[in-house]
Amino acid sequence: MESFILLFTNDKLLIFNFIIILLFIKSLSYIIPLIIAIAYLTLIERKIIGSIQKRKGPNIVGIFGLLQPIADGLKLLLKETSLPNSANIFIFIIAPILTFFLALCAWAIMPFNEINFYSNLNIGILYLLAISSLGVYGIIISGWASNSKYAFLGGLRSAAQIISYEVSIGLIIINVLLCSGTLNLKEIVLAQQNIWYIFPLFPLFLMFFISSLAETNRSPFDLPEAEAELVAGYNVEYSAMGFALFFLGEYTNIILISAVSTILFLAGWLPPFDIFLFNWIPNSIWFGFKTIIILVLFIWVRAAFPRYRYDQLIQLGWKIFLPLSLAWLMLTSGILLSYDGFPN
Amino acid sequence: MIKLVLFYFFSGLSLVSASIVISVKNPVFSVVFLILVFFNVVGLLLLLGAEFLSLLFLIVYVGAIAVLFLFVVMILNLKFIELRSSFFYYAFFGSLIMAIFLFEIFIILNSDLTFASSYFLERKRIWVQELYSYTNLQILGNVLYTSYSYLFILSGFVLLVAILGAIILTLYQRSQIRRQDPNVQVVRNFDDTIRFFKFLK
Amino acid sequence: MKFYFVEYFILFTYIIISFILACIISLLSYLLTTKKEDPEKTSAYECGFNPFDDTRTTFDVKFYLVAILFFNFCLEISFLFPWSIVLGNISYFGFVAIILFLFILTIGFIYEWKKGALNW
Repeated sequence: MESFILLFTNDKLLIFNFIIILLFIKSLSYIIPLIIAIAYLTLIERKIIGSIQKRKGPNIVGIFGLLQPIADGLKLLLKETSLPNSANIFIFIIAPILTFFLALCAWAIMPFNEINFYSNLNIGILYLLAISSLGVYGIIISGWASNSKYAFLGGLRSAAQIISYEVSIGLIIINVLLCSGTLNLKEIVLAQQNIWYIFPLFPLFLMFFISSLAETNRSPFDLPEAEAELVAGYNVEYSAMGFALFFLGEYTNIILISAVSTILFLAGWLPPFDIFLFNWIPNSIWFGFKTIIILVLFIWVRAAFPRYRYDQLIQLGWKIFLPLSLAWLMLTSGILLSYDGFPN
Repeated sequence: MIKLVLFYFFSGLSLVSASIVISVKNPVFSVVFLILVFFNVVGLLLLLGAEFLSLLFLIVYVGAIAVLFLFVVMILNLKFIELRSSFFYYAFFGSLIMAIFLFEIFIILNSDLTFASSYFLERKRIWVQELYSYTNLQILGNVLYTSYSYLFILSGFVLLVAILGAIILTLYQRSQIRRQDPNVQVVRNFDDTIRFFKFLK
Repeated sequence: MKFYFVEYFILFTYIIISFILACIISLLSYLLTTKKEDPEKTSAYECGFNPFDDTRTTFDVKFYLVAILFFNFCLEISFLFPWSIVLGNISYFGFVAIILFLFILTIGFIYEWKKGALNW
């Protein structure tokens, strides 16, 4: 990019400004499709759950209800935002912004194919873990600032839940790192050219999937917003755009974690077989296709399973997933060590 | 140039938010600004080139320790602490501790770190390493689990003590809780549970 | 080193842009909408009646315990990250070191299990 600009000008400040503007456009070209993807994810969710329950789902607004998410978004934008009088206004306003902002941040390092990424960090996985561990704040802070009992309880529950499952997610990721020998997301995908990690590490993939359901507060583990007991959990006091930002943040995290599991276990953009027909399809379409499969799994689980109890949830995380993933770590490293199967 | 601007940005913001941490009245606000301080320190570490340490700092301090602080503040239910009453008491001890820390930093700066630099930087950084360009992580890993394995295992003991201490301090069992035991549920079979009686007419 | 810095600078621009965007979206809803304040609307939600008292009372210490335990295991995992990358180089010595480390922590984990700290 720099050499291209150097053809026209030699002024360093101008080049710097130009690069900043290009980066601005490039980041918008990541964020805007992401928001559209979230909008249509909600439509897919309603359609799939509708057809599982023998309903039609939204089909009035636009053909097949295709304009429904846009109508929903506009409605939320034009609703009145009410600020509770007992809340701490500053933190109350900051919390949804923080949630949405962190959810967007994590996408900066996602490689869509071998050349298409925003920033190629050496330690991409750690960056993802850091951002996901920051996600707790938006929830705790919103629960505290709302000064409502339901919001407070929902925030606490959600924080404890996300924290517990992050341990097992971290241990599972270390298994993948042992096999790939790098923390760079791009190199992790390229390390899977011979075999996708879902095949040797299938139990870990299952655990990762279940943990990611818990991490994103999705359905069998959606205790923070259990309608029957907590009304809507931590976002009960939020209306209009505050609520919409939480909603967007949550769905961004869902897409993010399915993209991450695509990269870690399903070999990212790589086609399943290295033959002409598969190579002909662009790589980024493979990436999207695999991500969508996991997203549909998320929705399917929501339609199929009843909600967990909170004690069961905590015990599943600490008593089953943690020892199991620790034991699997020893197994993986032992096998790699004894058969000298390290990548570098 | 950009580095210098970013350095002043991060360090200035961290100083400002650090002073807000101790001056603001609501403890939750001070935790929030403490998180901001951590963020800026992460930025400073990144500028130094310590990418692994900086992100680890983010995960451990912001992701775990600050959550603990927030929980503590919320548990204690502190509303507005009376700062003025004990100001001089804290000021005395605070300045004492600050003087000790400054003295230590002064000693370290004076002794120009010959031992550590000879061990870490000069002996390890040879041209082969420049050629293969090890990452932060590889350098750390190659040293931590071999040369410093004693200290590493010792840190395991420190974590063990932390787990034990946390459990002893916070654990209490409420008495009238009915717990579910899946084992009992699974072992239970039809014949043991339901018995039929014949009543005489 | 210089190469990394470029990547992080690009990341930093992205972070700033997404922060500005999140702020704009939040601000829009305050600018575009009409506001009608109402005591019923702005009071905290509590199934049909007015809230009795301030909600920020104490809560179960179990949440705090979970946070502390998470902190320990988070540190343990952060020790495993460099190990997972260099295990090929440091071979059996590093493997034994990490086994000892995990063994010590597993003692803590078993203690915590037997004490019932994981029972909610």
